[in-house]
Amino acid sequence: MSEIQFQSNVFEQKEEEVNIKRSQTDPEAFKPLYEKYFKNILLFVLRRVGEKEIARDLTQQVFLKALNKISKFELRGLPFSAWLFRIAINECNDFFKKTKKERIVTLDESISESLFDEIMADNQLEELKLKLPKILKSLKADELQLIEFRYFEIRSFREIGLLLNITETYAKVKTYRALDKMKKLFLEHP
Amino acid sequence: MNYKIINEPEITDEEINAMMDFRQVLEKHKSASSVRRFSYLSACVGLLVVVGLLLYQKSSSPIKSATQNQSVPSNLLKPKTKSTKSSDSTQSINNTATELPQVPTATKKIPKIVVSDHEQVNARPDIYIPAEPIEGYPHLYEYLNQNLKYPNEAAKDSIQGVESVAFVIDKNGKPSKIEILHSLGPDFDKEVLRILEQMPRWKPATLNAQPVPSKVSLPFTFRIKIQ
Repeated sequence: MSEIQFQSNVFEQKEEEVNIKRSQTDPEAFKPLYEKYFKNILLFVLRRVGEKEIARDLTQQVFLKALNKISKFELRGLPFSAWLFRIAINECNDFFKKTKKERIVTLDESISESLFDEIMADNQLEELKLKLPKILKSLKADELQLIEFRYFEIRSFREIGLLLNITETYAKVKTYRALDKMKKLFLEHP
Repeated sequence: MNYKIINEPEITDEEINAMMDFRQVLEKHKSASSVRRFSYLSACVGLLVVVGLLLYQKSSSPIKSATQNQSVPSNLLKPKTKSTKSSDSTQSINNTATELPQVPTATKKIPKIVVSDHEQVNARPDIYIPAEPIEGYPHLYEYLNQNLKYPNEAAKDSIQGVESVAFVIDKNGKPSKIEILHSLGPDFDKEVLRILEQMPRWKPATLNAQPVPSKVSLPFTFRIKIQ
């Protein structure tokens, strides 16, 4: 499920803005932001690295980088949560580059049914569930990321665009291309 | 990239809360900030050493005058003479009809190299104040605008452009060592030399309150205004 709270209420938004502004001069003021987003970022990272300790270290690193760069964060630009997730995406990518570890794809029961609906007819559900790991492994890193964002974490195309720094339309186009590829792979796989 | 498919790792809220450690992030941030500050300090010290070496080399050379570039924005002076036809050799140039250009604010660059006799490099930062006209730059520009004349001899060739001049303001505030950096022709050089010799006095540059010679450069823009 999506962990980004883009639709927080006005009061929360104002409070967050105040904390961001204060953090730009006083690092101690970053604490409420850390506490608010720690869980979301940790779960996001954990789904990609699979190990709790690594996820914890990377999450700490995400917040450290955010704090180091908070003076450059502009309130009128990207939502703060999306900014944090972007840092998290980069941290995960760096981690896989440096360690050459396997990229983890977390599959569980909560995966959106809409993914299955997109790929095949109703009577092929069991077959798809069996084939899905293989199909996912055939995707490129950016394609997999889009499928995860859209169907595993149920993010809107707007959110996906913000996270990847692309337009909403392009996020949609790229996601549907990845889906088409998955459909073909499903039909091709024995 | 290789992927490994796993089921959702189980993690409880208690575990997540136990993982939170804002102090650790804060301490790392503070140490990173102090490293950055140290880097800036090192860079500044490095720069001082380089400048010091340059000063040392400069002071041991035969020329012991300070050089300073005080760049004044171009298009500072645009005496626009009224002529009937720029290419016509019989045209009359009305010098009294010179239009006053807008005077931009002078920008002063902090000199990279400042040299004075028997100068020693101290650990204490030097205080350098660049040379400036006694009555200020606006007054100087007004003088130049009012007095700079387009050379009549050059009108027939319709020469326009920028003539750049550098000169040294000596310790007494007098211009010397006038050097034409970019010439538009002998007539323009003559006019520029004439006007510089009569220009208002300058306050010399000072290094730690001691007057030092400094180099100043000025661009003069000559344009013909066609009526």
